[in-house]
Amino acid sequence: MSKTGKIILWVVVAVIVISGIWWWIASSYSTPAIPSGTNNNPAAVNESSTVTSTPASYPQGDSDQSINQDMTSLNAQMTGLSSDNASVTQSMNDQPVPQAE
Amino acid sequence: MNNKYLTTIASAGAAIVVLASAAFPALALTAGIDASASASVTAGVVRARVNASASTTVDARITLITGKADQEITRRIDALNALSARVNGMVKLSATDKSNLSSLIQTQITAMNVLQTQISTDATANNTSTLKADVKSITASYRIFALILPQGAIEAMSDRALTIVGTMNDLGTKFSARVQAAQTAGNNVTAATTALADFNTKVSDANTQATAAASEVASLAPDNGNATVMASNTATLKDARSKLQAVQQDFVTARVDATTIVKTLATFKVAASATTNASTSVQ
Repeated sequence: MSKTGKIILWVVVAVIVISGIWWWIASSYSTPAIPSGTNNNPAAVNESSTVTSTPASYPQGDSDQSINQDMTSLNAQMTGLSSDNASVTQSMNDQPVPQAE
Repeated sequence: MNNKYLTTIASAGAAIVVLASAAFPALALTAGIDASASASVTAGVVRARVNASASTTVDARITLITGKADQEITRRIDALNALSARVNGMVKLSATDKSNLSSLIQTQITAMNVLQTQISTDATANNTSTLKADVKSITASYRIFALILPQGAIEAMSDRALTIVGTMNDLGTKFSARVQAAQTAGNNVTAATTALADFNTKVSDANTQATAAASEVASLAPDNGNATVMASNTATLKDARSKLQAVQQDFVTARVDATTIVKTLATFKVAASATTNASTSVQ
């Protein structure tokens, strides 16, 4: 075998060895160890949490925040309506620029 | 003095007169100097001045005409463009009405642009007769503009009013649920119920009036010089405006009712949502 052939062979062997080591390390870190005897079912976990429930008699989105948003939107729309009203009045009182004959 | 000497003096005098006449033509005219040379020069200068004056007058006239015309056309185009943008933003108007209105506006904008170009061309050509026709065209087309502008403005206001009706209807539904819940909880909801009833009445009336206002102006057409049609159009526009003013008043009252309801509900301390602590243990 020529000197060049030996070098290529060593390189190939080195790549295979390094890849094998990298695969072994990666696979050992990606799979967490599951302790035996532990139930992973979320429903079985004891929890004490604060939840917000909407009474059945209220429609969806019927909250103070929802009403406040509607009221804010309403105020903005009514301001726009006043502006529209001014435009209507102005358009009905429009006067042309007198033309030179 | 001999004749030769006298002739020289006379020639010099005539030359002075000619020069003086050229420099001071008015003086030459008023003095009544009887010199053919000076008369000729004076007439030429006066003619030139008259011509120059006439030319200046025509130029000034054209500048005045084009200035006024341009001012009016630009004013109309700006107003129509603003209206067009407003129409495009409408959400409640029917697609057909919206399309018809947009088409009317665009036609007028195009006509105004064409007229503006025509006036510029006529002014450059010093064509006063066609300029006069252009000005007549501006005046004649004003009646179309005077219809489209309030027509569009009323449609736009109606559209916004109907949007507000939608928002208020949503609010009314929420208020109703809240008042009912407060009543179930044992609270005295008389004031809130009364305010809510008035709120709903005003919103309903606003809906009716806004719809009617939009509907009655939608079919208006330019009068084309017909005084009867013009009077009818004006009456319709005024009626629609009065309807919209009633709508606005309805909204103001409904807004007051809404505030009353919100404040009343706040005194009941009715929460929209209940916070509960849940402790669940499911095996």
